[in-house]
Amino acid sequence: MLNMYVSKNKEIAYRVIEDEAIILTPEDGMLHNLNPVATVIFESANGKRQVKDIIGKICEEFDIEERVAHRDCLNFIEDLVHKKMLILSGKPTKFSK
Amino acid sequence: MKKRNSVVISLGGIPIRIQSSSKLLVDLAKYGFRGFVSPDLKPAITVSVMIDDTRDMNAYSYGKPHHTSVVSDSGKFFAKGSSYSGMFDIHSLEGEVRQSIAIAPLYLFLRFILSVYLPSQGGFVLHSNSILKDGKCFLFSGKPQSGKSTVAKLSSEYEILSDDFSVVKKANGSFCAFGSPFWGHVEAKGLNIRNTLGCVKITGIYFLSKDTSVYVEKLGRKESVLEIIENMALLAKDCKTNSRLLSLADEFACSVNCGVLHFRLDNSFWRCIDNA
Repeated sequence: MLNMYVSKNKEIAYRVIEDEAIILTPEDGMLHNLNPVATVIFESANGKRQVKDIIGKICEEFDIEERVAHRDCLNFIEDLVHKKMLILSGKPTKFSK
Repeated sequence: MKKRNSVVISLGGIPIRIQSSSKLLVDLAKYGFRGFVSPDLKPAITVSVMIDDTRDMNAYSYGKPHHTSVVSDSGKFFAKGSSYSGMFDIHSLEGEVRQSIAIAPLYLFLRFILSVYLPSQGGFVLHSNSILKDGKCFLFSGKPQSGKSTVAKLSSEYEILSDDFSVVKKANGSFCAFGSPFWGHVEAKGLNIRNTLGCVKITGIYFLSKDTSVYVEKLGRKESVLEIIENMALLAKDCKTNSRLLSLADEFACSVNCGVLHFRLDNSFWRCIDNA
């Protein structure tokens, strides 16, 4: 999974307010509010970054142990993939938002 | 071919022609939308009503609120409920609805059209009442049973633009509330209704919370946006529309007072609003 490329689902609408993303998922009409760390992960998912790049970015920007960042990022990305907000791909994708 | 009967009404500043082969349906629309009939305006949207007698007469039959399912496909929005099924094309600005000869399903279909069309015009439909006090317009928002109609009834000395769904749109750079035909329970009581074609600049929006004490809890920008989005009438399954709604909600939250109003069953909450 670390070498997979991550992109946002182009069908979702989102806006970052006060460092926190508000996301509307179209299928269930649900509103989601991400905390600042989750927002950086979400915003970094531009189709050109791999999972490992995003973990590195989190370690750089936040005071967090690499082991914890690794575990939490993987769990979070898996959760957002499950909720169809993020998409994993073996190759970089053109779409970026 | 049957003669087309029609009436032009203006909702949220948008002229809409309602046409049908049924003269009775158009007469019902003229009565149901009295105060909004605008024969001199050129319609931006045309809605054709086809009569289907197999549909429910009443959108609120069996004591349950009407549930609408919405799908979108390449600019066409489809809505389906027990009392109507319809389609609105956001490119041609034409809508078609199949319903019984009754006004309630037409209310629902027009509310659906406004919900998907208004974002492109800088507006949205919100679960809220709109009350005018001393020349200022306040919105009190919340889901069903939150107290919107109660607050409207407790404000009978002021003018009421709507008690259930507010039509909000930017006009001259400010967010304004328009007169709305989408009523809940107040109109039947004959309170101080203002069915108007005009609009009034919004001073504040308050999200209702029934309580034993009365106070306003101010909301930050993000919390306000979340509350506004939660109380929008309908979220389209369409990224472009939802992106516009998020942007409008943010702009709205930054331009008016936002808070949670804790209130009890008297009109003392107005003192808190005046001091907010």
